[in-house]
Amino acid sequence: MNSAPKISNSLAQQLNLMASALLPALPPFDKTAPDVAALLKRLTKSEDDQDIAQSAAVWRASAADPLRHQPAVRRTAGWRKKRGLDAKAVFGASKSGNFQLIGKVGGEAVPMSRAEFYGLTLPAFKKTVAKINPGTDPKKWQELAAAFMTDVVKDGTGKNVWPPEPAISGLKASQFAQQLLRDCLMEAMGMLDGPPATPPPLLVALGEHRRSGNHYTREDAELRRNELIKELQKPAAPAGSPA
Amino acid sequence: MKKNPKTSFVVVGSGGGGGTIAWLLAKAGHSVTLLEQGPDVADRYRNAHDGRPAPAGGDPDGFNSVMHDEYYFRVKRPDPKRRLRGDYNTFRVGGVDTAKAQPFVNGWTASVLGGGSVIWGTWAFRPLPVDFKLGTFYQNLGRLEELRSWGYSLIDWPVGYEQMEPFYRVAEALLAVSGDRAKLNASITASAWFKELAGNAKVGALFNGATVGEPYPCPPHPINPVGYYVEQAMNRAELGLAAAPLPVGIVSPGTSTYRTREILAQAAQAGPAQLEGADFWKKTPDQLWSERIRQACNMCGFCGEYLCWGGAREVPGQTLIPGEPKSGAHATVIQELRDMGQQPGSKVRVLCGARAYEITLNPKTKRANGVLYLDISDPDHPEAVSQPAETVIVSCGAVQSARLLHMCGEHGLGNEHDQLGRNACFHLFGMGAKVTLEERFRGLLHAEFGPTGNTTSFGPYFIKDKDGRWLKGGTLTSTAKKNPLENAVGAVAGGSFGDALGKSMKDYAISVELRLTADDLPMPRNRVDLDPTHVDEFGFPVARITREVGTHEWLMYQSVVPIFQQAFEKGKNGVTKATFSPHILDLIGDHQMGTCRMGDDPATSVVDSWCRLHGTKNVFVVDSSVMTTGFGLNPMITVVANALRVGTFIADTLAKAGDPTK
Repeated sequence: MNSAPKISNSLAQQLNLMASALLPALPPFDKTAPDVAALLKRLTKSEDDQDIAQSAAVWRASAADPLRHQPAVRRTAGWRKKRGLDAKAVFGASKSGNFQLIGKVGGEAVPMSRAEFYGLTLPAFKKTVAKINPGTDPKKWQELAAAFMTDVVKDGTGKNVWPPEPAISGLKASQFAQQLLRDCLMEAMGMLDGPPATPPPLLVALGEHRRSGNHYTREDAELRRNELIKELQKPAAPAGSPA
Repeated sequence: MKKNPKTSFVVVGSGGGGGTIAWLLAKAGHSVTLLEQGPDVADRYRNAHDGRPAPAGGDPDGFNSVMHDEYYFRVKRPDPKRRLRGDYNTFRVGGVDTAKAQPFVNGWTASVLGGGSVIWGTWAFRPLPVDFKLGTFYQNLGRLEELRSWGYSLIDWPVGYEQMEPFYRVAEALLAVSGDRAKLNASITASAWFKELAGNAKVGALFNGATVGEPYPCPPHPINPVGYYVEQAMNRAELGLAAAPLPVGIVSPGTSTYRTREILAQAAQAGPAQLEGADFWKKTPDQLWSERIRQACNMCGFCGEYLCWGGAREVPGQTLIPGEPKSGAHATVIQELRDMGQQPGSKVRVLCGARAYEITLNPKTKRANGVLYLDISDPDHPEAVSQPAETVIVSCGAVQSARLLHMCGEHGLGNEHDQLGRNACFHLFGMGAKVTLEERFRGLLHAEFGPTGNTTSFGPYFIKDKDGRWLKGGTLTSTAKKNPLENAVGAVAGGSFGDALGKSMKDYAISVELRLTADDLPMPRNRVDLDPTHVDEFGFPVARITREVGTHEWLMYQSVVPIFQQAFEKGKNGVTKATFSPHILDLIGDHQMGTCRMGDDPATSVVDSWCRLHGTKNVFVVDSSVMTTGFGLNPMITVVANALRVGTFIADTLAKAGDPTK
C-alpha cells in the first residue's frame, strides 16, 4: 500500500489556489470545484496508484539489471553473441517511453506512483510558496502558476527558488504543475471512479456530451443529427456579431 | 525446464489471426494450445474496475458503466499498451545507422487476450480484386520499373480476391460487420478513378468484381452528427467523393438478435462450403457455433482504443457476466475456444502470460518441434517452459512475429534469403484534416455516438498526381471522436494552462476531423529486425523498426492535400479554422504489415501461398505480416479471412489423411 502524503490545512488551501490558477475559467465551471487535498488523498491511496507503483518497481529493477531474468532461459552471453547482439543490454522501455509516467528526474524517465511523486513534490511546493508568499491573491497565484509551468520560479530578489532542496533536483516545477493540473482535470471532467452524479460543469461548459456511463440509442443519434442539420441550414452569422 | 504435453498445434498470439485459426483447428477436432503473452484484461476487470463494483441495479445487458471513463481508456489505458509487458520497439528513420529509441506513436497493438482485435477500431473494409494484383496493375500501366527505381518491391499476392472472397463472407459474419453495402459499392463505382481505370484496356479487367453483392450481416450504425457533417463535405460536387456509412465490426445499435450461429452458417453455405475440399464448412450450424447472442453497441462513446469492456459474456444456463469486449477475437472465437477447453477430456488450452521467445527445430529434420516460452504469470519469477508441437502457427502482429522469428537461431527462422522483416508497411495515418466550426455548433456534434469513425469514402482509393500518374491512396473517413480529457492532457503536456488551455479545450469540442488511411507501398529497406542493444523487461531484444517514406507516398501526400482543402474551406459550412497534416511520417504502428510477406518466390517473400515458411513448412504465419501489400484499408478483416482460409486448408488436408506441412 502506498503511503499518501500528509496535507495540512494551509497546504490544502495553497493547492486549491494553485489548481484554480492552472485550470481554465469556463463558466459554469468555476475552477474551484476540485478539493485538491481530498483528490490527492484519494488518488494516492487508490488501487490504480498501487498498480502504477508495482509496474514502476519492475521498471526500475529492469533498468538496473536488464538481463536479470535471462538466466531463466539460458546462458545469456552466448545467446546474444550468437545473434549478433551487443554484449551490453539496455532496458528498452525506459528509453522508448512505452510507459505511463508519473515522474521524471533529470530528464530521464523514472516511473513513480502518484504517492511517491507527491510525497517528493508537495513539501517542495510548500517551501517554494513560502519563499514567494503569494498570499491568497488570485493574480499572484496566476503569476506563480505561469512560473511553475515555464520553470522560471524566482523570488522577489530574482533568485531561483525551485527546487528548494537538492533531493528533488531532477524534478522540474513544470512537472509538478502539469501532474497537478492533469489530476484536477480528470476529476473536474468526472472521468474518475465511474459515472458522476451530476453533469460535470466543465464538460457542460465545453458543450461536451461524453460522460462516463453513457448509453445512447439509434433514435438519439438521429435526433441529434437532425438538430445539426437545422443549424447547418441557418445562414452563417455575419462577421463581428456575437456568438 | 518445465515441459508441457505435446499438442498438434501451438498457436502463438490470440488476435484476429491466431485466435481465429486456433478456434477453427480446435473445432476440427485437433489438440490446440493457444499462447498469449498478455493477460486476459477482462478477467481482471470483469465485475469490477480497479476494485470498484458496478453500480447497484446494474444494467440488464451486463454493461458496467464504471469501466467507462476517459482516464481509464485514453490516458492510463488498460494494462499492456504503454505499460510494462507491452511491446517495446526502437525506431530509426531510413539511412540512419543507429536506432534512436522512440515511442511507438499511437500503435494500436495490444498484448492481451484477443490481441490487436481488442483495440481495433472495428473498421471492416473488404479490399478490391486489384489490391491483390498491384504488381500487375503497375506493370500493365508501364510503371513498375519506375517504382522499382524508387526502391519499391511490388509483387502480386499469390492468392487472388476470388480465393479470399468466401472467407471474407465468413469473417464478416464472425465479426458482425454492420454497414450499407449498396452505398459502399456506390462509393467505389462513383469514384473518378474507378470510372477511368475500369474502362482502361490495360488494367480494366483488374477492377472486375470490385463491388459485392450480398448485404452486410448487420445494418449500418446510424449516421451521427459528425458523420453527417463530413458526408455533406464529401458529397459536394467539386469534391466528388461518394460517402457511405463506415462498415464496422460491432453489432449495430438496437440489434438484439445477432445469433452468430445462424449468420455464420449462412455465410459458410454461400462461401467456403461451395469450395472443393472445404468440408469443414459443411458442418451443421450447431456444430459450428454456440447459442450465444452477440451484444449490440450501446453507443457509450468510450471506444477510442480498448473497446467495449462494458460488454457481457453469456454463459448458457447462467447469468450474464459483465466485463467482456463486444468486438474482435475476444468476443467471438476466444469465447468459443474457451468453451471447448472446458469440455471433459478437451485438448484445447488457452494460456495467458505465455511469452514465446523461440521456435525450436529438430536438428535432424530441420522441422519445427515446438515453442519455448516464458511463463510470466508471476512476472517477478518467470519460468521457461517447453511446448512441444507437431505444427507451429505464429500470429503476433507484423512487428512481433518478425521479431520472434529473428530470435530463432543464429540467422533467424524463415530468413534463408534475407527477407524476414523486410517490406514492412504501416499505412500513412499522418494524413488528415481538422476543422474548427463556429461557436453556434457547440454542443451539436455529439461525437460520442458509436465507434470511432462514422462516414467514409473510397473516393481517393487511387489518386492521380499532377503529372497524371496513378498513385495508390486509401479510404477517407470521419474520425472525430471528442476525447476532451485526452486532448486536454495533451495540451497540458505541451505547456498549456489557464486561459490558453481553456481555448484549446473549447476549440476541440467544436472540431471535426477527416483522415486518410493511406497505403504505404512495400520497400525492402523498411524492415523489422532485432535491436542490438535494447531489451524488454525479460531481457530479450526488442524489435528495431527501420522506416522511411518513399517517393510514391510523398507524391500521394501532395495530391491529397487539395482534397482536404476543398472539403473544409474556411468561411464555408461553419468552418472558422482548417488545418492539414504538415507531415506524413509518423512512427505509427496501428496497422503493421508485410514483414513475412506471402509469395511464390522465396527470393522475394517469406511464406508461401498457404502461409508456410518457405524453408520450414510446419511453421505457419497467419497475421498481417503475410500481407503482400497493405491496401490502404484496416487489415483486421483480411487477417481473419486469411486465417480462415489457411485453417480450412490445414483441417481439410488432415481430414483426408494428407500433410499440410509438406
